[in-house]
Amino acid sequence: MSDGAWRAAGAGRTLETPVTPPSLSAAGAAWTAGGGLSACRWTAGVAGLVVASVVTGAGCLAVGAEPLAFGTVLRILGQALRGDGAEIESVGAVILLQVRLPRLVLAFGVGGALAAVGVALQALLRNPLAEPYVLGISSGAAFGATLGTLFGVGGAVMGLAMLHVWAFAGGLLAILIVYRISVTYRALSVHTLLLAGVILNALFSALIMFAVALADPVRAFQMMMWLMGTITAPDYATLLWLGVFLGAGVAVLFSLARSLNVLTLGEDAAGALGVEVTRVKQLVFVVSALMTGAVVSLAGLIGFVGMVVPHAVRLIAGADHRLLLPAATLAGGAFLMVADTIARTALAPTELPVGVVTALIGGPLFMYLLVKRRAGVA
Amino acid sequence: MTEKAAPPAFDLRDVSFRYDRAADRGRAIHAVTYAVGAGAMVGIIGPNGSGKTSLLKLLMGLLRPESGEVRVFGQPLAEWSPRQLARRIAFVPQETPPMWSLTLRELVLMGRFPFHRPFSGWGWDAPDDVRRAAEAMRDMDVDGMADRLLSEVSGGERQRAVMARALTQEPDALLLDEPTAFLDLRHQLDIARNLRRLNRERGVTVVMVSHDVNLASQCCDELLLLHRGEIARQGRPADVIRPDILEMVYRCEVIVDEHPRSHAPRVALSV
Repeated sequence: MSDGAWRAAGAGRTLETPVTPPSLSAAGAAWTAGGGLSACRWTAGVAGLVVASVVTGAGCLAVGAEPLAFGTVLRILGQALRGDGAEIESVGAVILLQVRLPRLVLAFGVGGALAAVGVALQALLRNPLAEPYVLGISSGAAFGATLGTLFGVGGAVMGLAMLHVWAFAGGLLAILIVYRISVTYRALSVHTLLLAGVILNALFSALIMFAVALADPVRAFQMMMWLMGTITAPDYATLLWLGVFLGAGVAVLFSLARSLNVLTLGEDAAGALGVEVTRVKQLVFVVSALMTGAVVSLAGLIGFVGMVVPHAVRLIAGADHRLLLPAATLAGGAFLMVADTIARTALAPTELPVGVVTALIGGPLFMYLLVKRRAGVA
Repeated sequence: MTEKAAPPAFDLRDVSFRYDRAADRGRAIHAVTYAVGAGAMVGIIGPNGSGKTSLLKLLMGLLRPESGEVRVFGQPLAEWSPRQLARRIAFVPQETPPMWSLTLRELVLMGRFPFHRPFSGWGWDAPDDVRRAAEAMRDMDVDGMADRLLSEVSGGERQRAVMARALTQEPDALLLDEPTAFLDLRHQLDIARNLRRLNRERGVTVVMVSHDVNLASQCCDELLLLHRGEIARQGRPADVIRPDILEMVYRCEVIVDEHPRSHAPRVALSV
């Protein structure tokens, strides 16, 4: 149909509606003010976060038992990138490149993946509290990984891949149960879903504890540390594998950004607007389970990142998933880098599990959001 | 574009539907055969729970019939992809609760979704899409609040934004579920006139579910009265809006007279 005809078909307005100034809480809307999401706004937002993440990362690298000057960090990183070995044998360089950097990169990947999965699940389940840890998906994956460990998987990369398969299977099982419940009790979904997560968490925790009880004391302690969410310096082969894996998962989620936007209106409205609801759902569930499985098998149970970060980013960047997804991914990575730095320095030389740090930040926020929702504000 | 010889926009053949297949009481639609001609303006009326919304969702393929067949523009529903369907038909659901900080403009721009390729999560809003959305918002009188959040505007403003989204789809057919439910008198009139205009000038097929029998009577060329999932009566407003029929279906006393200007039948209740 031609535009002119459509314009002619529009109603004649009889009265002028006063232009209401946007309120402060609409700050996020500034991103789209004046006409949709433009390339310029998107690039500015994402580039800003990339720079912020790099600076944050470099800052985190400088902190520790052996403090390094910020300039030294940048210099050594630059040399490593150029393959120039002037300082590469120094103590600082070894600490930086063999210990802190791989750990930092892992923290970034884990945080980014958890935040991206959180955003996607929140859109799909229309629940801002949805998150892999809260919904029991992480404990499902942990249970799978525990079984995998018990049945013995060896080797660096192949063993890791097998562990991922176990963790993925556990995570997918949890997602399917959670989704089944949310479909059955459609009308109650917001709170039923959380309840389902609580029950799943309890169930999987019991199963994991059962497995831990069977293990020898040293092994049991390692498993407990892992369950509390711990980032340890991985080798670079593991990082590469994880990077490719999580990168692919995030790319799939990004490609669904428009569909996720429309899905926040509900499944009926989304279907009527042309979203292939079932297909998008299946894809998001499988990708979420895969990513959660990979994260959990490497870093254990790290809670609330997938809820805290999207919530904060949404306030600033708005609810458009084309910007929200990449922004939350970057911010989630930065958040966990900082959290892990706190975890390894706050009580040095003792290390806290990073899961404890994120739970201390995320738990209160979760309660606040729950109370606010109940009060009908959110 | 106005192909009067075209196949009916919607064609229901012996369609039945149940929400709960195990329980017989879940029956929502029973053996409905009905065709909506291309370019028609049809109102679906009936008491609460008579199956109005279910019928509307069946037309759009949001519900799959248990038996019978639904054809859209001559083609069985199964042959349409959701995207193809959304380029021809816009669905205006009853008010959906807003999620997060969606702005009105973002909501309206979603009307362009079916015109994007699948998996095109990347990409920005084309100036063309933005312009169409702005026009639709102007038509629906919400352009002054394009950058406000859905949670901050009134139910009526939200409803008009959803209408604007449907217009942004530039559809050949509009399906509406209670389009005037949250609106004050002026905006009820605005919506009704808009729908009439789209129908008359653009040949857009309009099917609306409404509790407002008088509005449906004035706007629509044809009414479909549902009663417990079956068609109680269909035809021109004068043939449907009759005290004997309404009293049987709604089970209350009604007075039917004539609208002073349009001469459409008018229902009154004496409290």
